[in-house]
Amino acid sequence: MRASIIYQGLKEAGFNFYTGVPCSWLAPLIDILSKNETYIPAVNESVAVGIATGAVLAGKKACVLMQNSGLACCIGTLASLNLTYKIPILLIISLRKGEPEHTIMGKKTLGLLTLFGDEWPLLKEAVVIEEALEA
Amino acid sequence: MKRYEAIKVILGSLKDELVICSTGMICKEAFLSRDRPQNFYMLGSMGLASSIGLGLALNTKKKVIVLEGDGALLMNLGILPQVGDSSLKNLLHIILDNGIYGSTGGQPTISKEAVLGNIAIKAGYSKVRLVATLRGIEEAMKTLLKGEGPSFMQVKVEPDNIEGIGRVTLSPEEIRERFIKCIG
Repeated sequence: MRASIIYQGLKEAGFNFYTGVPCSWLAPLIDILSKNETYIPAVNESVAVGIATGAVLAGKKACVLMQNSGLACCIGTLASLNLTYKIPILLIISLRKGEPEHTIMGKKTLGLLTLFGDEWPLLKEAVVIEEALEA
Repeated sequence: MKRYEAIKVILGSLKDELVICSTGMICKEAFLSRDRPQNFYMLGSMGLASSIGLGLALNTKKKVIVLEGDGALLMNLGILPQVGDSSLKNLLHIILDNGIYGSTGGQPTISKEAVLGNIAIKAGYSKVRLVATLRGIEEAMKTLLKGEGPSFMQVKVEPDNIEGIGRVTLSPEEIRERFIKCIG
């Protein structure tokens, strides 16, 4: 899928604040966002979720980009902050699973989101893009 | 100086500034000393008060104050260059440094080994203060609230909790709702 199509969708949905930690699959989208929007490169995924949450409190619609390995790093923050205070953010997570370091998390990612879905109905909906984005 | 006294003086010096209070005792003592809708009590997510403060400060003209402990900052030290990189003029980052994890039984942190103020200067904060008295806090707050940041104030406090202090009695949704209304 082309990154520009996703960017168009994000704009139409009203997203106006972006942060995240890079993944090579998401690189073309991060490139577009960095050139056209506020995109804050965060030092880790929990910080990205925290920054996005602060932006939402100030009235923005915020989106966080990360790899699924990063989801494992910020699941506690999503639970104790976003799900607890009901502060919505959009997560765009690349579903890496081919390489040895991604094999286990790759198998567990969707299950992890489903597991938390009861707490937050929105998490039940996931669009899966299982390949690198095109520029 | 006890942490509670320091928090009382810090919050007492504020008008409509927004404050992100870090989890545990800092939330409880801020709630007890001066509850106000501009206080966001972060009931969990240790280490992330500064990240929320950063995202907030980027999107409001109001002054944003982050109130967290040395343990919380050390958990997430990458936030210092993250703030420095953002060149935020409206962020004041306050560290209540008691050298322990005070909310969990007083286990030592490594803040003695880490000169937090020096790291903040190198990370790009424009004003850094180290204070150890209530008078020192009052004076620093006057300067730091007026001037342009990002600013950093490390407050040396005793490792001391208020015996039997209660939890924040607001629900997370109440905390969120009244806080959002203050930003307008």
